[in-house]
Amino acid sequence: MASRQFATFEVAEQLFGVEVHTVQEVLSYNEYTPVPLAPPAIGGLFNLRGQVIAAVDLRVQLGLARKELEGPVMNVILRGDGEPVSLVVDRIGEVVDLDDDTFEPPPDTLSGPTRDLVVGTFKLDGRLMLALDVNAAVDTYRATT
Amino acid sequence: MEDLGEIVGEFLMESHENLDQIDRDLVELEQDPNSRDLISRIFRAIHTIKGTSGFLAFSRLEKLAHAGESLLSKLRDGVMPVTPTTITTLLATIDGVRSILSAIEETQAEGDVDIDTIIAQVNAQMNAEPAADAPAAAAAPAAEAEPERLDETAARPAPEPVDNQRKPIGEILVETGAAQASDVGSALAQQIEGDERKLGTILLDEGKAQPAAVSEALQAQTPKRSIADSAIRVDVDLLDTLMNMVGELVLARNQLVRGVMETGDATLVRSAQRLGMITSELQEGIMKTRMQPIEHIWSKLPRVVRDLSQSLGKQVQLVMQGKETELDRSLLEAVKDPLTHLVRNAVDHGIENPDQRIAAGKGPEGTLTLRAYHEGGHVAVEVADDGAGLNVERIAQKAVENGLLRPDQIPNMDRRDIMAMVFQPGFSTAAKVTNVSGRGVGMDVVKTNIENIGGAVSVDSKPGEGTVWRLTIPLTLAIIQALTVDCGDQRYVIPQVAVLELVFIDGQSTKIEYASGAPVYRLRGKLLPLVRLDRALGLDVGGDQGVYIMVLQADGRRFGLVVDRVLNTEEVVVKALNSRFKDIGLYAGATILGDGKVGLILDVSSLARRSHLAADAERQNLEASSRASGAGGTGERLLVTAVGERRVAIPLDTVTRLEEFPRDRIEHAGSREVVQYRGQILPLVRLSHLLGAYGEEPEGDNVSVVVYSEGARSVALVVDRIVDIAENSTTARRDAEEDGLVGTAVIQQRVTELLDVRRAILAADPNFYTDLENDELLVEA
Repeated sequence: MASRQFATFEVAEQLFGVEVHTVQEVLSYNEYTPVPLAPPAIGGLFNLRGQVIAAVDLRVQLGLARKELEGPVMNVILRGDGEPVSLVVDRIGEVVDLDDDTFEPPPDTLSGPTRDLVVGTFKLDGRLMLALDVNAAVDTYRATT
Repeated sequence: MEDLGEIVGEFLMESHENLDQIDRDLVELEQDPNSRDLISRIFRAIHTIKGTSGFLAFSRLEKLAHAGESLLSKLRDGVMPVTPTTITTLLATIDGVRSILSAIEETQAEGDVDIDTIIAQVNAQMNAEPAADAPAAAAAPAAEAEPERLDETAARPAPEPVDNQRKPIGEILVETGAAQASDVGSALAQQIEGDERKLGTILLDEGKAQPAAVSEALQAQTPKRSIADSAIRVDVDLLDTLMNMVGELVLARNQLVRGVMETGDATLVRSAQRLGMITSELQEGIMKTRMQPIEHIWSKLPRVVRDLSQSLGKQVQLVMQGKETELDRSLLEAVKDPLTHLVRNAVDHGIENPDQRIAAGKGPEGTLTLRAYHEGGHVAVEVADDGAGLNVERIAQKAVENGLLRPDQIPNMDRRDIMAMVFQPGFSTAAKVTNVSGRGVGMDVVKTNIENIGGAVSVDSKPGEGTVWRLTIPLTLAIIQALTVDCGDQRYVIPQVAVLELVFIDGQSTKIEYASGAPVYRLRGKLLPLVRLDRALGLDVGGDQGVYIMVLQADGRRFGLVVDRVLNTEEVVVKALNSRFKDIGLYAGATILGDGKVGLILDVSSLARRSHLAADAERQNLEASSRASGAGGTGERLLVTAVGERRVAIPLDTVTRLEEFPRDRIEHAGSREVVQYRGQILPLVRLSHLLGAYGEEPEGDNVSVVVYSEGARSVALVVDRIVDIAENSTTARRDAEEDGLVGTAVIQQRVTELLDVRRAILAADPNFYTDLENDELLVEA
């Protein structure tokens, strides 16, 4: 049976996942440089071993208020298209192996910005994981509030 | 051909270099027709091309090179003199060779470049000048010699003349007196008998010569390694990769050093410091590998100047200073075209015709000077001519016609700022369009290209003495000299190339003022428009005290950037900014600061553009509102002056400049007082006389004046001193009862008279308005 590996993380108590091969690394970082006049979903820039990485605030992308970037914040760094980009998340979860038969399309009742970012739902033991569309999640020029 | 691919590639690269050298040498030869060295060098170079092309079976190329070589051999043998015509023919030959080479590069075949015309030209040259003493005899041996030599070159290109080949070491030792001829002879005899040791070794072993003398002789034997032996070709991409990696290494080093310092372990600290030093040297070394002398791009210019000046009938001498100045390779590429354009422009427009020059009292030959030198972390490249200079009035006029400037801005502007208008797109003051320049394309491209690499362009000119175009180029693209500043709680980086000076605003002796709501600073009497960085970035706007103004130059305009704190200058490694920030436009890139945080590098040009747009918009709003509300509408800004005991306010819109003149510069013309000002006669009117406020003349050597300009006309209103700039709140106001005033108002708790500007101006210059029309705003003022 086909199965896929997902790296999971939490944002606003909700469990999300991205496929493991899209993830470059996960790390906590605590100094971000804000970029005035940038799209609101840009949390800031940080220095990853000499490379300048943009941190996308997943909360803003989900239509929530900005996350305060004070103290260490977890980043899921995605390989991205040519240049790595980071998703700012609340908490890092486990890497899980998921069979395709636990997958379902997003529920019809899910609406709003989250609906645009989610490609499907996986039923884990005791909770649901929303699989993110990686490209949409880091697209900071989406209509954001 | 497959197998030959690499050989052909090498041949092309080598030949291009040779051709450039031949170009230079030919132009030089024209100046110095008797230089046998030059002729031989050109001969050798073209001979190499001929030989190799024969070997590679490029027959047409070989034929053409052969024709050039024949002509050269006549020059070399002194059968024909070197004349400009022969040089032109030779240059044409070289161009022919070049086009065949390009054809080979593109299609692997010689193509159909027309060589017959050139060869006919060469033959005509050779026949047209029948030399007195047996030309046939001289030409014949040369022609005979060719086939032989060709065979030789086929196997081994570029045979060096014998006198350049190695001299036997024995001979050197005997000549320098380091060994006896007899000892050398016996050593040679031993070698012939089968001794396999080298001659120097035999002499040493037998104690017939000193080791030092032998090693000296060995060095003398290979006089100097030629460039070809001491250099290798390296792929630029590889160097770029190394450069990036070193950049990373520098950052890692910085972080490591900081971390180690905190541990306080003496051994570790020493190791870290050593690592630091090695890294710095490595960085420097890698950067040097990418450096090339500017001569590389200058080398084509003598030819450009020669051809152009000849076709224009001008005489131009090209002087090059500092051609060894080195620049990063990628920058050299970027500078090449702008520089060529400037040189062509200088020959075309800068330097006059010989008869014009003589009429102007100069020598018929113009001088074009290329100068390159290091200056404070930058390389400056200047193109200077001693021609007629730029016509500032015409540039100003043209700028107004093109809608780039408003007439009232002109008197206000620095000469250099007006000259910088030539860098605007579509700007050309050339009386006629030539095929060289004057189409209004070019100068703006020069500017764009140079700014793209983080450089700056400026121009200065003196009428009748010439023009200097100046390119300021950063040493490398990857590392720039920058100033770090604080604004809000963040740190930003500003490329130092744009920074002219820094001013600290203490709020007492130096302060920010507001002209119609727009912040300005009086920089040496001139109003400098200010941009608040915090406002430009959409942050909370801070106060006006204890801040710094950075006087910046971009797009030929000067403006002040208000920041909270200026920290220091440092070299920063420029990192490309993620593409998602391109649209913001305010950032030129990012860098990693010393503390490991990311710092944004500001794009000064776009800051300038943004703020000027804003300023214009504000001005338009203001004009509209002042029209709507009429004179003295609320929010009008007034310049408050003191005249005797009285306070007189002048609408700030009507003020062009504030000036001070030494009292002794005031002259009299009829009953009026005038001063000479920027090449104009500026009429003065004393407000104290006009308003009948006779009192004591204020002390001091200078008089303060408020200059009002419209079009080309200006008048100056003399006041005792400038008091302040205030907003007219119109709390209490009466219409005027006195001549010269439009009313009185209470401003800053004091009764202040509002000047009738029109009346005052007419008092100074009764003809002021005769040729001005539609001056609504002023009438209302």
